[in-house]
Amino acid sequence: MSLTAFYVLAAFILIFAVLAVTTANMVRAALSLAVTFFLVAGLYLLLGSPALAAIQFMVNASAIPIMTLFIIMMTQSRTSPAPRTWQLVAGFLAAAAALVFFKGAVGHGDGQITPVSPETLGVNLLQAALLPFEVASLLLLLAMVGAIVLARRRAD
Amino acid sequence: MVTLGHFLLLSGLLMVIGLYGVLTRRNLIAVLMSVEILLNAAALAFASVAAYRDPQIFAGQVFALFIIVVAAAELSIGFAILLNVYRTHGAVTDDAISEMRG
Amino acid sequence: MSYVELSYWIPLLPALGFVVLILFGRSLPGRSSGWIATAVMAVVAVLSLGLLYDVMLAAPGWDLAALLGGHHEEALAKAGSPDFPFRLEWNWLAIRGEAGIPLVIYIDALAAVVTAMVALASLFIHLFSVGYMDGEERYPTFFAYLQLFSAAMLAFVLAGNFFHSLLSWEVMGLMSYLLIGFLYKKKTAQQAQKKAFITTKLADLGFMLGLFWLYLLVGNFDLADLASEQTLAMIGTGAAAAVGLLVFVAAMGKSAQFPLHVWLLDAMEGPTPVSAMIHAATMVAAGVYLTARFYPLLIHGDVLWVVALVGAFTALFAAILAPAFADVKKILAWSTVSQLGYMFLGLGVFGWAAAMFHLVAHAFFKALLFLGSGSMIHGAKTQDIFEMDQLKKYMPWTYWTFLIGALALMGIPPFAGFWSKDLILHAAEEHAKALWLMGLTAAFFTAFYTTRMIVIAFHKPAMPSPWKAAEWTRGAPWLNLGPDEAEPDPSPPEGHHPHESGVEMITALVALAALSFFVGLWGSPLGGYGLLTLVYWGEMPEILPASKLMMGYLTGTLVALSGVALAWFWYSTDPLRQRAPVWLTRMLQRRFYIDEFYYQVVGRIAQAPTYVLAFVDRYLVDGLVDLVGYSTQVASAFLRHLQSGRFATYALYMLLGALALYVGGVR
Repeated sequence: MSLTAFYVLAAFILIFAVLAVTTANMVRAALSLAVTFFLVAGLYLLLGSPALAAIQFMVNASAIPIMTLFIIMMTQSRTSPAPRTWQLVAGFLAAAAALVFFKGAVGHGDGQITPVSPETLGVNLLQAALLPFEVASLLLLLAMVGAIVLARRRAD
Repeated sequence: MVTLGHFLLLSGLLMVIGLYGVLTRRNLIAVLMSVEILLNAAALAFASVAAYRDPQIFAGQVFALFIIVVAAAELSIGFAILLNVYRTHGAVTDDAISEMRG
Repeated sequence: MSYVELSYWIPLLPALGFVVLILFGRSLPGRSSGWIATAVMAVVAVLSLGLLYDVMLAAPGWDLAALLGGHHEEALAKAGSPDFPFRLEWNWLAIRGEAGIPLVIYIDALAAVVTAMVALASLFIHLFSVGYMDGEERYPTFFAYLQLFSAAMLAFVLAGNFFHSLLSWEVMGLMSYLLIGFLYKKKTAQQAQKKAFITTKLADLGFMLGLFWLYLLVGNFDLADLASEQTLAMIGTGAAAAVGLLVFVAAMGKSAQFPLHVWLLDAMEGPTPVSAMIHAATMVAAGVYLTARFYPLLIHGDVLWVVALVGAFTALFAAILAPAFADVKKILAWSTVSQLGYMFLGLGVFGWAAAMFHLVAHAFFKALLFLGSGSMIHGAKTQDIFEMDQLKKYMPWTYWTFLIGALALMGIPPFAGFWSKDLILHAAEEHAKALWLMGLTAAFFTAFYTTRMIVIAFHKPAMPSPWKAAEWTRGAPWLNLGPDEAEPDPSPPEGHHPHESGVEMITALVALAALSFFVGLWGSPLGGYGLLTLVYWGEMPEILPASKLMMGYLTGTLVALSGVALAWFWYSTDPLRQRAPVWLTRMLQRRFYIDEFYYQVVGRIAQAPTYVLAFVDRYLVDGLVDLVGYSTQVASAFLRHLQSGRFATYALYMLLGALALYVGGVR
């Protein structure tokens, strides 16, 4: 059952991810990206982590695509220009190299999924990783301020 | 039976796709989107290793959370910069910002 | 809260004053920056007088009769308080809990007396400058410098750790440089500040070497520790002599002793209050004070005779030179050199307390004299005594206060210099007759040139200065001035009549005159040798001359009066008549050619290695630099093609780099 679910999810994830990086139409690419992330949230559910899935859904599958669509509209980017030939060559070569690199991922047949409740994850987050947690909050604050400053219209 | 290898392979493939996107896309927004795919691939790898191998602390899943946070911060800043690029150059393609080449 | 606990504010307050004035002085209106600085010094003076009072209560008492009789062992009349000398200590530069170089304030009687002296003299110099510097372009900056100068001197006096002595010593050197060159648009001032800085810096090398050597021997920089038996035993006689002499070289530089006296005369290029500051309160006193602090070491190394010889020679040498000059400030500068020589003579012949007495008394009357000369210059618009027009008539306040200072300088009873100089001469007489004779001769010349200055400047109408141009062009060939830059100092405008100075300046003069008189009394037999018994610390040999006091007083007075009489006789009848042979006058005006010797010989010798270094710099160092630049250019001509400006290529490089790292990491 779960194997079937995994394969279905994985297939759609890969299809939409490829769409997201190849479609010339920017809006379509952004929507494909949203679907990809939504499906990845499903993978997190399969991994027994509803908390991660929820966050993935809220941030990556909702907030980020919306922001992306806004920026696409604001910069009037209808399409992405077609890649140059050398870019295609470099992209394929890099992809091939990375495939070789990742072939070690196959295997690892042993082990069981341990489901984790949102509560456990939250406690871990605030105990083992309290300092990174605070630093991350600071990072978000800085990013927010920085984005406002950068995007503000100049007085002149 | 879904094994860790399945998840890692999927994560690797996502990584390859993102890499391809970063290298081939010419619209800078699309490039940032590809970077998002890369980051998601990494987060997926972390989360799956945690689920299979770390049943007490789930450090990898905590890490995945942080990756999402960093991704959001990076994207907002990136978009703010692109907005400025658009204002000054009228477009957000790589041609627009290649003026400094030697 | 006792004044001892507050003592760290004494150097700190003027330092803060410096910070405030240097940052905000320019936005302060009118003369307020001067008044702020003066107020700061007033607070410091109150603090230091309080400190002196605390010290007088806590210091051990000595029985005068026993001391005079030579029974030093039985002289202790009242034991000092157990925590005397006071010590305030903060650990500083401590690394991981180890004792570093603690910041120590060490207050014994000498430190308290000199602190009070510096604070008071500096206060009145500040007050005087409020009026004197009025209208000057960089008025607040001047006071900022004065503040830091005072702060450095006070920190130097209170330092209980030679490392901090060195630090404040160097700050003082810097401030003297800045203040001498305060009128920086004058070429001569620029040259003078450089000369002062280089000369004293050269001497400071001795201080540093001596201190580091001392540290190697003893392992700390503590001042009180230096006087202890164990420390001295640890050092050994030879090393003590070497270290003591090295430090004495620094003291010679700071206190302008022969042969390092050359900077002091040119330092007259600074504004007159600066001269007063350098000559009375700070700079030159520091050298004497430092020598007094290294006294146990100098005794241990048995090199006091060097100090005595240098002091006696300088006292005589400078006193002989002074009559050949017509610039009032230069005459006073020579008198400073000479009086400092007396102090070193006193130190050298075991008249430690007498030398310290002379240090304090001299500080007050020399500050008075310099400020008086400032007032004269201010009123007469010239520095040349011949061009000054009957100042006694026009500037009565200046005249009478100046006269008090001059009487003290000449050693006429009952003024300050008489008591202190006589004690030094007495100690010299007990020690070596030759030194005593040199001192007496110097005293004669001192009375002579001082009287000459007073008669010509105050009593005689203005006359064309006979030596003005000569003094200028002959006196300063090393200044390297072009023909149009070598201008003599301005003469007063036609029909100018001197006028009395403002109320601040007069107040400062009167206060200093009173102070100098009473300090003299405090250390005199009339005051029960109060100052001397206060600073006496019980392990000094021969602190006070025992017998034949009246004989000494009589001799001293007679010698001084004969100098006065000769000068009066010569200069009140015909001031312009050339009495010495021309060659002698010229030699004196050119300062025995010592400056020229340094310029021509020492300067050339020092220049020789620079030719080699210039060659090395031009062809080796520069060649290397050029090579680096050239290779960078060549390399960048290729590498710039990598900068395509397209981020995709950069992403590719990044990826390749990551792969390379991975491959390298796997292997």
